[in-house]
Amino acid sequence: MISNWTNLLSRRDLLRELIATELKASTAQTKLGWLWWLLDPLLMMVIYWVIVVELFGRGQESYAPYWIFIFFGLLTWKHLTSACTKASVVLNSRKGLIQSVAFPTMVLPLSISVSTFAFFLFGFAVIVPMSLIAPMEKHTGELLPVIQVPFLMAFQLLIVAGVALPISCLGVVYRDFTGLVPHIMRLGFYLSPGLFGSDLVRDGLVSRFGNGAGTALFHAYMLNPFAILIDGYRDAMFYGRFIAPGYWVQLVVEAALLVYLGYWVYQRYDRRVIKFL
Amino acid sequence: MGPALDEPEGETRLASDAPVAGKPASRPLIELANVGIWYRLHHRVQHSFKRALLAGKLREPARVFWALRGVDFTCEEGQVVGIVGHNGAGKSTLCMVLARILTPDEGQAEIRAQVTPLLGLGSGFNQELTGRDNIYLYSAFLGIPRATIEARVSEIHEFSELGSFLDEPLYTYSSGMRARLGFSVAAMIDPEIMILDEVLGVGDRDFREKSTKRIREMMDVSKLILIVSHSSGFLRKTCTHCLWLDHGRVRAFGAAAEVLDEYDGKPEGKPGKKG
Repeated sequence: MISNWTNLLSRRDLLRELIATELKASTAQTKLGWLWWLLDPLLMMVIYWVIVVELFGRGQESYAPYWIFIFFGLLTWKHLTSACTKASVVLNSRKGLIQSVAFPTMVLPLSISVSTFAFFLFGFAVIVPMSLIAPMEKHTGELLPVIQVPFLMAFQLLIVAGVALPISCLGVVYRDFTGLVPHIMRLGFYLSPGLFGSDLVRDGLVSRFGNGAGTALFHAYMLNPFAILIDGYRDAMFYGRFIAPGYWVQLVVEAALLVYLGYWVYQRYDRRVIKFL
Repeated sequence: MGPALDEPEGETRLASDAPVAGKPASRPLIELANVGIWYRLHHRVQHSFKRALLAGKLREPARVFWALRGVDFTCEEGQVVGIVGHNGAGKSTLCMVLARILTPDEGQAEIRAQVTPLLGLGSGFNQELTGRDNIYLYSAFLGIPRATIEARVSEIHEFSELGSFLDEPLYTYSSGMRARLGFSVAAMIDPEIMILDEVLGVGDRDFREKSTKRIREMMDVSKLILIVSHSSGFLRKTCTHCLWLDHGRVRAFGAAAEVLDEYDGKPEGKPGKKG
């Protein structure tokens, strides 16, 4: 396993080149070019804002301004969705190359995890001017919690890479899986606290199952690392507070586990998967 | 049929997992022992996620086609080895094993030098990017350091004869131009083991002459060359040894003239997919 890590390290030129390629190629044929990196999350936000606030009249008072509140959820989940969707087809789409040049194919899903992360960062930068237009009313005024953001981002990148690695293999061996990925992702989004806060989930569970069982169920719900990440970004920037230390421990454990498992599965399949292309 | 066709029920072990045995100093550059590769015949085989994950490798499904089976041969430094056989005999699969692209499902493959396969040239190109960007991308795939390529971009540009098209996106290229660019990047390598799979006919006549000349130069610096070709005349002139594959098995391996005499004397076998 270690020799494979060093092999991968020795090919970091390739990884860098691939990431640059994906960023360049994503906007190569569009008139607006890199503006799409900003437009894409903004349009998504407008659509959800119209649906939830204008059509359904929802969006709690504690979430105001709601459009910024959902932006954190949409962006974070979008990173996972685009990485997994692209990863599930990347080995097939690079078939010719994989069958003619010996290189660690792991760089393909990894470069996707990073390039989609770059889009995420771009979108995240939009939040700053947005918060000037619509002040975050619920903010405590503390700026220190913002230092949590880069750590949350690092865990997010690791977790996405850990998930994207096995998905790219599964997409080759089980072709039908590729069609399922977008649906799994959509379901995952509605289950994660993207359009609502996790406090709503806790209140709902407690009022339905009582204090003991409800809290236990809520802890199970928070096992989803994206629940912590989305909540975390909101705590750090929207509310101006620190997240519970226990959640950091959980993020460390889950990121380590996912990266290890993803790497392990990929190593097992790696060369053999090529025959299935 | 050669002696390679005895079917020992050997253990399946990956070459990379194999312990390094104490062998003499000048070991063969390529050593294949009982190598087998299977392909799935149709896509409707039921797989269990859990079983495949736990087994750690993809099990042999019910209906498979062995593209290679029981392949044994060794190549020493200084040889030029031709590979012949009918369509579907396993030549391309063998090239993928030699290039370390595929790991054998059965047996062991030891390749003890850096391999540069000239297979499917330019298949890593991105249509949206310019030729120049693609030079960097493709050479990164081939494992050429960025600094080396930066120093040689103008050389590649000149060799490829692309002119001002170098800074145009690749979807504006003709297939000949793409092949020329692919060859020009790969031609920057001084390979230890070179594998040629019918790439000698790239581009128009002038470019073909130039690429053939460059391949000769590359062959001069290589320690070992493997050439897949259907032209036994060309192989007779070029090769010292020849490997004849028939339905995924080694039919003959030895001095080029002898094997090619035998190959030319026999009627072509028909590709038969078992299963």
